[in-house]
Amino acid sequence: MIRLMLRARPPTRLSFRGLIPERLAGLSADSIARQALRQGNRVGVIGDCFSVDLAGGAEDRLVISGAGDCLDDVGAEMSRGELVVEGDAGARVGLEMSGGRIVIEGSVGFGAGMAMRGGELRIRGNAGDDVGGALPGEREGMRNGMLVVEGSAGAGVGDRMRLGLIVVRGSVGAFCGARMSAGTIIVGGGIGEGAGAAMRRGTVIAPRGNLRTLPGFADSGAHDLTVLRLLGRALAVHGLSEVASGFFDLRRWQGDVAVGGKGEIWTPP
Amino acid sequence: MIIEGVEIEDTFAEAFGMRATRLVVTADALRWARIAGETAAGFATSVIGCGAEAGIERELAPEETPDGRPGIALLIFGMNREGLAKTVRDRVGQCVLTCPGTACYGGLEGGEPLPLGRVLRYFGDGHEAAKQIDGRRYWRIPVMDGEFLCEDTVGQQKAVGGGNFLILGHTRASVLAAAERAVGAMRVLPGVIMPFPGGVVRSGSKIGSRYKGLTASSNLAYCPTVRGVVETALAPEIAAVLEIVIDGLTEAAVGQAMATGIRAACRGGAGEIARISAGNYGGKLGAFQFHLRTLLA
Repeated sequence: MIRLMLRARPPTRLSFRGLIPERLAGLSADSIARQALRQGNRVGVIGDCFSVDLAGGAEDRLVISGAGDCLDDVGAEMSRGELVVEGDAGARVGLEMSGGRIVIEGSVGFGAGMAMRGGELRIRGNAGDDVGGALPGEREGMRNGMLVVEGSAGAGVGDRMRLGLIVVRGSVGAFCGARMSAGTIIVGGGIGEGAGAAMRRGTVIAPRGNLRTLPGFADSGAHDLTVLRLLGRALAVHGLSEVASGFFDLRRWQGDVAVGGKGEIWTPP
Repeated sequence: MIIEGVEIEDTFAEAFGMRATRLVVTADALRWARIAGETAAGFATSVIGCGAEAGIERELAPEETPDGRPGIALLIFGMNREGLAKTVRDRVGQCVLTCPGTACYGGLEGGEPLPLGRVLRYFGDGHEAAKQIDGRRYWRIPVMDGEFLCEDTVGQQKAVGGGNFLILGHTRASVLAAAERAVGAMRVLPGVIMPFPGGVVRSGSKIGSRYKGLTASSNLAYCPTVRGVVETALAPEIAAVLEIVIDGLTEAAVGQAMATGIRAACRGGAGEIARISAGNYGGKLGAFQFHLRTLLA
């Protein structure tokens, strides 16, 4: 296991892009300390800010502690291994990750799981805007994988989402599931205005959300469907059974009819 | 060899390679899952005449099924992957999709998968929807009681069909009772089905016929009512013969089922059951041979 401990809060933001378990595994502590680390608008090395400690256990496990919200791009492009942040992290956690597991013990900033392609990203605290969203200019956001926010999330959760699962235990902001073309978003708490705007396909489930659906959504009645049971059991496997506890007799809204109407939002009956 | 007073003939059952899949069918109640399974396994006693052999492997408790509802495991056998794919599509499409409250999932991993939900989805007429859950893809097809949920593809594997044994006895009633004991004991075993009605077949067949165009005909050597005029395999005291045919996912599963069934048939059969035999083609056609005395040793 590799442990990076922040010595002192840096004056600039740090980008951890490229510093992922699979690239650091097998390197010595000195070698890791000499890896490039972008600090604001200049490039330094990890050793400038962090002490490096190699402990026993899996060598593709990276633990970062004491970093705080100034650490951006944690786990970006990660494809295997495990990365744990003992505290908060900054923007774009898990950017374009395709495999492995990232756990953030605290909260994160903007763009968590942006353009994510696989693996598991779990955030114990809250997340900012654009969870599972798309890179600027891209047509598709999150393309696969599982993203769990145990607190609440900001606006634009799952914007342009293409596939995968996003679970937010708490509330989400406006435009959740907007422009999504497939995938599943589950919201345990309240859900903001404009959910599902211009969604073509995909599923948003908000069993406790008091949602005023957009005019582009048609009421298809309250149902108890097998697919929700199946989803509930899958969530239970991942320790999220309480999120699925309300998956019965939900009301199905089909939309957005302005763009084909094959998406769906499930709300309380 | 004698077991509980019943002679075990020194012969073997000859079986063939097949392809098989396991489907898990769930419903709101076990009764409806069983109805769906029994309907889907209808007219699937012999691959020669039906194109498939099928049966319910066992009932499944809610905690054993993907959606937490009661269900059944259904085994379907075909001669090759293409034939199996077609019969699975047709049987699920006509017998499971149509049955109230059901859902259908794959119960086998591996093998080049058989398309299922991806071909049945067109019934949704544009309102079907795919949903990926934990790496598996399902189709939701709108039907009049809600949705039919069906896995996109199901796995398949090599299998063994045509394991068998014959029960020869002094009365029709005693032979039927022994057959029922055998089937009852085998039904609890995993990976096997007995595809004939109630697991029992009375019309054992031989290859060919004196009538043009028939590929199989009654195995007259085991028919007691014509033994005076054909080359019979029956001793004078034999009044009836019944056969149990077993299909299994593996050779070991078929062998275990045969041994279990034969022991159950012999139990309490002394004086009523004369002999246990088996059907074969001289060992020239089938890839698998199940020697009765070896199985029971």
